[in-house]
Amino acid sequence: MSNTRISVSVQAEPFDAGPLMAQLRAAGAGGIANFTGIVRGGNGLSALEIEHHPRMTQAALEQIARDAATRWPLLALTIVHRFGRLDLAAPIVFVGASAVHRAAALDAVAFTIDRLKTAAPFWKREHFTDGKSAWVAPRPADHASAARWD
Amino acid sequence: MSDHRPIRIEYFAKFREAMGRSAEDVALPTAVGSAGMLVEWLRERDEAGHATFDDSVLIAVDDVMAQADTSLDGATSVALFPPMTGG
Repeated sequence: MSNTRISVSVQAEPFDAGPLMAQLRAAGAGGIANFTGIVRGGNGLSALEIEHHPRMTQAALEQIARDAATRWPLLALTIVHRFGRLDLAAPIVFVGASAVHRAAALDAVAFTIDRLKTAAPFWKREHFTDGKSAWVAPRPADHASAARWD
Repeated sequence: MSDHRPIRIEYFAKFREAMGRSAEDVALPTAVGSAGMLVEWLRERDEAGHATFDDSVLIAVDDVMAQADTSLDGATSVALFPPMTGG
């Protein structure tokens, strides 16, 4: 039975990685790893819009977190994922893990971010400076990254 | 036993736009017994359904990810959405 302290938040509001990192401090921890995904500019992008399935996203992220906690001996794991309209350079997603040893923390973060790209019901729409917009197509590379943990 | 059952179908992301609505309540023929059969039923129902749903469609039955052969017995809602692109 895993004793990992799991925290999952699906929210419209921005987040600050600092306090999230502080929450991951745990007795006995030897390291805290984290990843923050942000809205990447370029190619005329003006904003990103993220739609989600409100009744399913929380449970999907909690399931991914439990899977990570089953695979690695984690002390704590935090996932924050935003939805709604996000400006350039705005934070989209945070994944952080603390563990006794660094390998578990680093691998758990990589696993979690790879998994949530293909297994949590979020969909991105790109808005461009010329007024056009388009749904983001799933990237084969993302599926390959997720599959390497199977 | 009725030969139709009420069920709510929800559409997300590009499917929502293509269908022109986020959800609809339908009377589904009882013979349409699985999640995959419901997708096929939508494809045959009208041009929008035919143009919208391809093999990439993901299905959730009562908010749980489903397969084409997942039964609709007792189900109250089916969500249809394209491959996920979060993170």
